Amino acid sequence: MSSAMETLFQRTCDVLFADLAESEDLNINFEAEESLFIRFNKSKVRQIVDVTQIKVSLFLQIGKKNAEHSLQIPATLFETGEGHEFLNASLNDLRDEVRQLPDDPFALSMRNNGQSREDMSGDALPGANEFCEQLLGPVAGVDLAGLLVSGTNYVGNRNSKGQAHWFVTRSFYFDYSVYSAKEKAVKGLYADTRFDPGIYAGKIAASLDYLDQMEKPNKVVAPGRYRCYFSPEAIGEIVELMGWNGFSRGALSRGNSPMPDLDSGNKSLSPLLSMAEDFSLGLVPSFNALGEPAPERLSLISRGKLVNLLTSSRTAEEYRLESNQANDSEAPRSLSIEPGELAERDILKALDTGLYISNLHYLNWSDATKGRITGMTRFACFWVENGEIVSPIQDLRFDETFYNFWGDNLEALTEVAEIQPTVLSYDQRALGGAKVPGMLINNFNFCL
Amino acid sequence: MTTHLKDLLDQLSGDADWVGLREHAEITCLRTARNGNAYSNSTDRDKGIMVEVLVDGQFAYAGTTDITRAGVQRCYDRAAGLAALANRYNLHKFDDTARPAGSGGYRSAVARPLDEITPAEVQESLIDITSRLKISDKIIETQASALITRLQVNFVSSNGADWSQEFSIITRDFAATAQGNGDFQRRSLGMEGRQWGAEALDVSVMADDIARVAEQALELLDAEECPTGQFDTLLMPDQLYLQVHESVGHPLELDRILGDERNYAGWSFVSPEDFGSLQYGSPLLNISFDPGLAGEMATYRFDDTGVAAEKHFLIRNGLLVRGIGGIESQQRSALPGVSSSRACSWNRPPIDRMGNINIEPGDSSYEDMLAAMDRGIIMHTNRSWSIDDYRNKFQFGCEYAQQVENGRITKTLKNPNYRGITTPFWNKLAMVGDLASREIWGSPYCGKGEPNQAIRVGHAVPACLFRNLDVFGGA
Ligand SMILES: [Zn+2]
Repeated sequence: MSSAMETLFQRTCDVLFADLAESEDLNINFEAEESLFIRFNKSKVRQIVDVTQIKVSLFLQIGKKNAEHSLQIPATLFETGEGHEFLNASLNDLRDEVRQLPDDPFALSMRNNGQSREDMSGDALPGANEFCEQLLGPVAGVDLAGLLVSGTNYVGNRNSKGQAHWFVTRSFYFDYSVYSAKEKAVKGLYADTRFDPGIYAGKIAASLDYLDQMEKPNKVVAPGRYRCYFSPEAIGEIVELMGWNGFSRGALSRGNSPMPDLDSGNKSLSPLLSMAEDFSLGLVPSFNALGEPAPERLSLISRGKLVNLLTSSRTAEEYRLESNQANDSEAPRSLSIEPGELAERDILKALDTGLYISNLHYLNWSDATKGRITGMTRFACFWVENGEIVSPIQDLRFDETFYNFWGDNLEALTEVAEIQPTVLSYDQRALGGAKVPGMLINNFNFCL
Repeated sequence: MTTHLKDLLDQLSGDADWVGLREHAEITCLRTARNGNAYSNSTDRDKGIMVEVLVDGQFAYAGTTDITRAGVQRCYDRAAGLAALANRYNLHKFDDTARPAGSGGYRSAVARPLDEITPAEVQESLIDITSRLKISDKIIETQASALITRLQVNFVSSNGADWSQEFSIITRDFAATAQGNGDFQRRSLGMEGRQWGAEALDVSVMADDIARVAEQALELLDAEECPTGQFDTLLMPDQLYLQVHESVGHPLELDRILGDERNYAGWSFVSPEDFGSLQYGSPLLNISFDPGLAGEMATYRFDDTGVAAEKHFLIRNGLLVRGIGGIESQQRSALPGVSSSRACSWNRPPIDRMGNINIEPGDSSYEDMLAAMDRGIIMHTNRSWSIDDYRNKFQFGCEYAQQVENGRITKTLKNPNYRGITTPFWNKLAMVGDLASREIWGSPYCGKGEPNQAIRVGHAVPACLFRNLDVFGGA
């Protein structure tokens, strides 16, 4: 079944392709969303916003010259009779620019990378009214802040060689935190394609349980090395930072990667650690902006050894390597870390004495080429003694290399990996995420 | 420039108490070159309208790229429906005093308009820069980029607002990465973002900086590791601006203090009682919100709610006196604020943002500050930044440092970092550079908000000397 959005995409492509000269190749990306954003503070509505946006990106190649123009189009583009004219004028602007630019020595020749179609539009989601009632009902009297995002994302790609992809997903997430009178907080996330009030009530109840445990006075933990348990959410934060040059093959060639020591074999990581780019998670289309389908599963680290770095076709062309159809930024789109054997009920016992870390905040490379990362603990983090939670902690800063914490100091991974969907919405609602377990790590360095 | 918007406004039918149309048309080109070749040329043309309505004290928003009578009417109806619904869960009742009826215009001051430079000329300059940076085989990668923005914001409302602002903004950067002695060192200009025109891409004017960056990248390969310990530290403007941003700008945002940002960007260690009483820094510290300093990234005449922009002191002689919050936060909190409700584009509602947050120049010359260090470190150009969600415990890293002994620079140091806690840090401020040491910096990517918004902020800061910072080196 094709939606109005798909019709708009196909027609836009048809008009543009019909206007191409023999010497020209065009790659078209389409990203549209119909999104409802409801922002809550103190369990009330702070802001409520509805957005429909449709972005078409045209990448034109003439010989070795190329450039990309992206533009917002209205859903009604072809209703006014001005659609053709608008698109042809846009293409002409792009042509004028491409012709005057110098050659791009690593320009890729455009290819037909095949066809795909994935429609996960599923059931209709609740409306704004129902969401407000369902979300706020169970938190009457609770201080909650958060954001509901709900709607449909459309991703399309076609090129003038005949390649064609279409991907639709309809989903919501409610990214929230609850607060005690003493400013203690617990973070929660409910993301799905169908809203189930029972599941939501369970999540809120669990968050409030944690909040009760936060009522004790903060323990001020002195800087030093501690045994720690990191929840899947906290590991998700580390994985997100790793996406910033960490797995990029291009960054390794440009001297801007933390991986030289792992790549050369000077250092290795724990044999407990295996991770892969895994599109079977279904969070994000497996085709990139060039329309290249990525392998369903690509091992990055296997039992502590580096197997692959993410390599775009452009990096491959420049450094004469094999592409693995990464996107331009060579960041993971759907990373999966293999779980281990630590059972949920054994986490505190295995931790024994140390820190239970639910969330991390504001991570950054502090010595990028050596893999050192700094960041903060956030929300519900606890001091644990003899397998029992003693008290929440005052937030700590860490500064530590992944060669240490994913090397000899990695002691165990939990037996269940959890999906951490991306909850970013800069410019547009982001897709993707990671599936990661929790980790037990020894001698983790806290500095402030 | 707002005639078409006024026509759309006049044609709307409905009974909202107030309606505003904010049109945002932005063309941003990112051009990059690497190693003597063109690398990428992409242009984003973003254009749409946010329809904002007020119904019984509740604002609601609907945004569209369909800038027709029917498209705007659909958004009006949708926003009015959402406002009526949200009113059952209303956080604060507003009236149209939260959207003053400003009128007038603003245009960035430029020496050479952006349309006087072609894509080919920009690319030629960038390629030239990357070629000049390659001064040795040890330099394995050179890069140059220009993020060039033409932005027009138009606003009309049912209570008579009618204004239009036109911005010309370029963020330029270039970098050289050197490899040797088992190490990689990257030295850059630092992302330099300002409101200016094509003059920003004149390579001959940048020639000395290009040569310096390339030489310093090589110099770092042979440099000693930055030592660990307590040192007097001179933070140069290309680092200090981000320190101001993270540890003064964000914690003073009233929406953070009110808790709106708790779930994403974070809360603040500053509480409402602190205004007028908290000694934020040493008496030398004077921080202003200054939307009028020409060339800064967030110089404007109106914020996105239409409040006329004025300069105010946020911290005077070290004392916290005013927050960074627009008219909605001022009405909610009864705290003093500034004209800083801003939206990153047509598809997001305005929220409290920094504008230009500046350190007012003091009276110490660079030479005075150097002479005042017996055992010190000078740090240049930010490369790493992190701070907690209450904006207390920060850590920064820089690209390049110099050791100072008895008032003289004695050697180059690599991988410099420092960490500290916000108010103790600002109370260690010992000398503030004069006007001659002041530089205009800023970031095009300040992120916060739910849904997320990245916005441009400006920071004009002099070099400043701090006593006894906790300094350390690389891994
Ligand atoms: Zn920021």
